[in-house]
Amino acid sequence: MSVQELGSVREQASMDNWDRLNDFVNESVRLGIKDKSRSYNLRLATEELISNIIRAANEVQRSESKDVVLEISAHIQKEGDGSWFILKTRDNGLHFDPQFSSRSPVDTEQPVSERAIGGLGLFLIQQSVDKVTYEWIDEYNVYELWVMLDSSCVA
Amino acid sequence: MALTIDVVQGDVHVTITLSGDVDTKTAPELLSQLTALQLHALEQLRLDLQAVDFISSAGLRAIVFAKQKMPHESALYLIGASEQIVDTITKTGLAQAVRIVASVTEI
Repeated sequence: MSVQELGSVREQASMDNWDRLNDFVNESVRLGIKDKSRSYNLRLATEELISNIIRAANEVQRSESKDVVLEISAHIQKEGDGSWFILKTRDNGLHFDPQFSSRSPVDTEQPVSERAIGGLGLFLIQQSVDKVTYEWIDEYNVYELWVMLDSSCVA
Repeated sequence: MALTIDVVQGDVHVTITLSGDVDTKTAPELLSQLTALQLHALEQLRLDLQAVDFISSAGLRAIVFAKQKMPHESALYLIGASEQIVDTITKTGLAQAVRIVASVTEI
């Protein structure tokens, strides 16, 4: 197995840093993924994840005198014949397990007139990448978004 | 990327032309423009997406909001959306509620 680091960014989880965090993601995706559809979908998933983390951080930062820090890193991992683009987030906000493995899918057949406005974000994260993992490690939420690359997808 | 929003009020329809990204940061601007319309009495809403590169779930929620407020028999057109945006709209099941067209001549 070999790993190619693409860099990282570390900022307070706040909308003030929205552009800086997303610029890092967009640049990493541009460097790592050539396929337009896969890069768009990873951006979609990451945007949802970052906005969820910032929303949860706002609650913590309102009620406690604690800064929530979000670190995002990206790397390409080669395993055997396959390669993965992996984007990892790490934050010290509220412990929130999205329970991806047991989560009920959104009913996409439900008429829009009857839909709740929320609920699309986590669904989109799951649908937009090949694999998503969550762990609570040393008081940090750690997510990994995995996108499979083939030779035509590597930039 | 910033979002620019241009609203043109016609006799029976409103056209909103968007340019840029509709994401968590910019979707509230779109929602604000939609909220300012008389959606409950609108027969047709046209969202021109030809210059939109990206729509997140926050943007989709704004579209769902508009459709929910419009009359049942009304039409919400999405004009010139990219393949990736159409794919997102399809996989979230929102394609049933909107009419996707390549250009305004198809309306």
